[in-house]
Amino acid sequence: MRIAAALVALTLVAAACGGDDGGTGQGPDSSKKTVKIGFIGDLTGANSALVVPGRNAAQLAFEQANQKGDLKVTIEFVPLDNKEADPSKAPPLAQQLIGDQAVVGVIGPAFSGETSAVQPLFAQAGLTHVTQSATRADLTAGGKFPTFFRSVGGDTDQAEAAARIAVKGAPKCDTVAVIDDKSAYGKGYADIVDAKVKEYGGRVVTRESVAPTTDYTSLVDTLRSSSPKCVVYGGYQPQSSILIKQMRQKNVAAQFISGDGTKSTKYIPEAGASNAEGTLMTCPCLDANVSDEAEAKQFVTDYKAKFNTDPDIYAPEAYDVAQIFIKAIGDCGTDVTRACVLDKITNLKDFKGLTKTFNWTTDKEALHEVTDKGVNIYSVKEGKIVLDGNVNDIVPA
Amino acid sequence: MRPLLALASVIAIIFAWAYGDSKVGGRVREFYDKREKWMFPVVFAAFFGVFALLTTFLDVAKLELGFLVGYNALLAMGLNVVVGYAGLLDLGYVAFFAVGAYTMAILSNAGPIQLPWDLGFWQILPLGIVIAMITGVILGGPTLRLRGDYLAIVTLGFGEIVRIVAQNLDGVTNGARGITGVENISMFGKSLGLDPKPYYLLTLFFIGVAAILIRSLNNSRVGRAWAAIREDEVAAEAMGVPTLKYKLWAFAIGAAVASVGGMVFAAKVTFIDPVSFHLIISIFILSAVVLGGLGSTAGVMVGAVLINVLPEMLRGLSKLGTIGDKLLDARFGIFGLVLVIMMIFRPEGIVPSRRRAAEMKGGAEETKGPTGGGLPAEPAPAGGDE
Amino acid sequence: MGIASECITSDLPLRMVGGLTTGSIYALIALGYTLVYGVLRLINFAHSEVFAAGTFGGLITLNLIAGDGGNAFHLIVAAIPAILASAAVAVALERGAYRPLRRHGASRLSFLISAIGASLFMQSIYLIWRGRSFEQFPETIPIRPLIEIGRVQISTVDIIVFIAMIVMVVGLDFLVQRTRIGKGIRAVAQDAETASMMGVNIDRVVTWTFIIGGALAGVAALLWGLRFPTRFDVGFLPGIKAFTAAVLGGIGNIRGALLGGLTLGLIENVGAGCFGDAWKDVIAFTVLVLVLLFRPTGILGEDVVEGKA
Repeated sequence: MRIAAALVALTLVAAACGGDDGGTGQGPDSSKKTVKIGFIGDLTGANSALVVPGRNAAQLAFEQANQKGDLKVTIEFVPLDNKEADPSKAPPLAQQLIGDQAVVGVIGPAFSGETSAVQPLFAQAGLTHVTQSATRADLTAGGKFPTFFRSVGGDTDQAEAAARIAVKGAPKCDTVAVIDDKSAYGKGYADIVDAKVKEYGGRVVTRESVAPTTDYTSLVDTLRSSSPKCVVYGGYQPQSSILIKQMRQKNVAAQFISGDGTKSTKYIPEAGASNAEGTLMTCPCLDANVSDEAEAKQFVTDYKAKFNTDPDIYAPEAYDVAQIFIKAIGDCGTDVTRACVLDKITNLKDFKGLTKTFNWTTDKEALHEVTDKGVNIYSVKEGKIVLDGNVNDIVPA
Repeated sequence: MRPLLALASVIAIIFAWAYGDSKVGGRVREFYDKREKWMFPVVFAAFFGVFALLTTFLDVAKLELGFLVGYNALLAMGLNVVVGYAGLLDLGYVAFFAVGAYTMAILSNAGPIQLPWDLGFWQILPLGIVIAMITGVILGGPTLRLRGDYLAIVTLGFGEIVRIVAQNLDGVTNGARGITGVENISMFGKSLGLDPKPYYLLTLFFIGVAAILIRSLNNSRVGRAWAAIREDEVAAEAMGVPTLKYKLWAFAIGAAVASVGGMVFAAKVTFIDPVSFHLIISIFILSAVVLGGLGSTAGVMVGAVLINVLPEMLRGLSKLGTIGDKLLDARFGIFGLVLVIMMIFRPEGIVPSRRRAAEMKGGAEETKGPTGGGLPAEPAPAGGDE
Repeated sequence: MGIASECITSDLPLRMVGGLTTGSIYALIALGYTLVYGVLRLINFAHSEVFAAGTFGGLITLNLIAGDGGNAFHLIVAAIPAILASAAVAVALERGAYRPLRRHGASRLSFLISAIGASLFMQSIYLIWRGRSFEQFPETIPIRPLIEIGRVQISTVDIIVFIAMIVMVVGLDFLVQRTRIGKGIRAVAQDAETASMMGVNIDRVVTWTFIIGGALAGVAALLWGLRFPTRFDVGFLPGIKAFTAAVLGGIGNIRGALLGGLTLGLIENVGAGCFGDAWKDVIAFTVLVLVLLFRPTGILGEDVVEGKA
């Protein structure tokens, strides 16, 4: 009988349970059919600074498209929050999008771990997903997931650039320490840096994996012990700020190089301007705020007008992805289906976006990567992050 | 519609709570006890019937939640055996969940190690259970001599060690990257794919099996030994009860149940990484057990439902804006508060097992010494049946 | 990552400095665990949040008075709110989470579960209050190295942390040996029933124990902030490690906490050089497990026998 009571309670609670996350951006013309584009990423957790700008930019793009009214449908944007970018929480979110037949495409997921977790699901459902920032190399290896597209250069490119800069570029480091934060992204990045540094003739004097922490005492001691000229860190802000700070405090003067996970507006304030000075960052991303292109400037203006802040990392990339979906949806006319969207995107040619011109690779070894990698090098100069330029212009391959 | 349902569920919870100690509850209990032999299978079948039927009402998102609740309930049942029946606080319980999940991933060749055989879910299942039980014995063996709270801390240490090792052993577990592409479960030659409905039903099935097994164990000599150990371990030893053996049994069974949860989890989510096996999960499951009712199978299932469903309901609140967001953030804090409050006011849980309720009330009087209850009492009294 | 030979070449003296500094902080936190355990035979699992409270007390004060950097004077001033914050949280814990259970004669298990719950609750309070970002103390004492002998560096902070810890331990020893409240603590730790019969007010002693333990954690928190940022979950790892240190040295034993803290700090930092930083936390957990399994009385020993009080 007690079980019966429990059972009643359970049933009612289960049935009463709540929440479906609504989308945003209703189009102005309600006579049109609505299609949805989803988004998965960490919107409220520790790494949200790397994701929210993208969400905002995509939202902007869709609202602009709906306002313009050229499309035969209205696009509804459905951003889903995968707090902390937990890969094991991503499949249910993906499932949610898959189950909603109005969803014809997904932007993201934003991070590599969660992308890996949902690739098979989206592939099975024939749902196209284009990531604006999941850079881990193996996501496209083997060509197993034809519904997955990566709109930015991957970690292979990014990490290779880091190794190239370190060994062959201005720092000319013959001894390099490679550190990662044990995350899927960080370790992937670091492993490639490790291999490339050796290939280019450098010596990896320290190779460590340290989970995100506040106490880097022993790692810094190791670095003092091995005295590398360059330290390359695969990981995210805020850890990179904390690490560089503790390094500099113990007079470890090595050149600090990191990847896109570090390129955040919080890096310099949290590290301290003097500690951050000189840091080099690789990023397969475009910082629209420092670009001279007219479209980029317009994007910055529009973004600022709507969100009251500058577009931070991966906002332009996400904007481009949104535009790719908008184009595909437009080309599908009134019959916007997942199959049609997939087809249009797969056959995308020479699509000019803010960040690059889009063409996809067809090589099975790395399927649906962009051909124009656009890996840029940024450095911290006088308390600001500045764009040094494309890595190929700085240090020819 | 929804507010009505919410209200109804709150009422049902209050009802279940009151049932625990009111006179009406007492009479209902008597009614049930007299007819337990046939009431149990009936209620049991009704329970599972209703939950299976739910699948026709629920959409995909809710079924996903149902699956989440399902394997959490399974884990809670397993922990219940360890904590509620044998009185051992295992703070590293998530390690067994991890063992199950990684076993499924590795043995199905989704990880870096490639075996010469191609094993599917149903073949790996018994293997996983055995491996988990062995792990339970290995982890439990040296620690079970320790006193309650020391045991808890050691198991916490073990749990963390297992997680960090999984994170570092690239060659076996693929380290931090985790293992992707774990095969879905196939039944009768067809893969279940990604639809949560069959997984939900399968989990329900496992819960049923586990419930029956645990109940039979509890009604047998093993259960009586557990009761003896709970009440007074020293006396039990003196009477010749091989306490260590039965404690190991509890550990092994808890591990086995957790591993089944882990295996189903891995096969459904198809991706596992060390993040899913953090200490907080152990505490989470513990919350479900404590909240629902230590030592009470039905209770811990209620606990599992509450712990998982309420945050989802809160998620709807995030439309309230930042307050809702912060509430969501704070949900572990709310669980923490619930733990404290439960320990102070209702340590036997919402749906208590009868023995425990009696112990909790009566025992307190006896153990108050001249210090006026200044010091904590000795080994955990606990009760358990169902 | 690292192999045995790296142990030998891992620059032992260099690593020992870091080990002693971090170990000093572990020691101070460990004292809180050891005091409460000595008096109540309880593991105050939520002590990690007492420590965290101190970091926030120090942080907010320093942000207020030394926002753009300050000096030692500001640090000393900030010590007061840090200590008060920690002590306050400790007492709140005692009153809110533990005393009701003591009144009910609850089991040790209940205490531990309640402590875990309280810890989670406090953490979420911190989370809601301060958010997820890491927050760093404004710099008051330069961290740059003061003394350099070869590759070994000792900074002002290292010296201050170590000395502060010694001062606190000596002070605590004095307090426990010479003052009335200290005698009360020793009496209750030794034999609560007799102490009560002799007129010792158990509740008062317990409250003071928590206050003192909390104050020490507050000092530790301030010293922590000299080098590391803080966050809502800052307490967890140092808390576990400090508990390990307390057990390692001999729980219930003040000098044991000191010894355990320094030893663990050394083992950790030097061990990370041997096995690689990836395994650093595993070292602490392994020490914990090994000590509890094979020598639960710790290095300096205390009467902690399985199954008995």
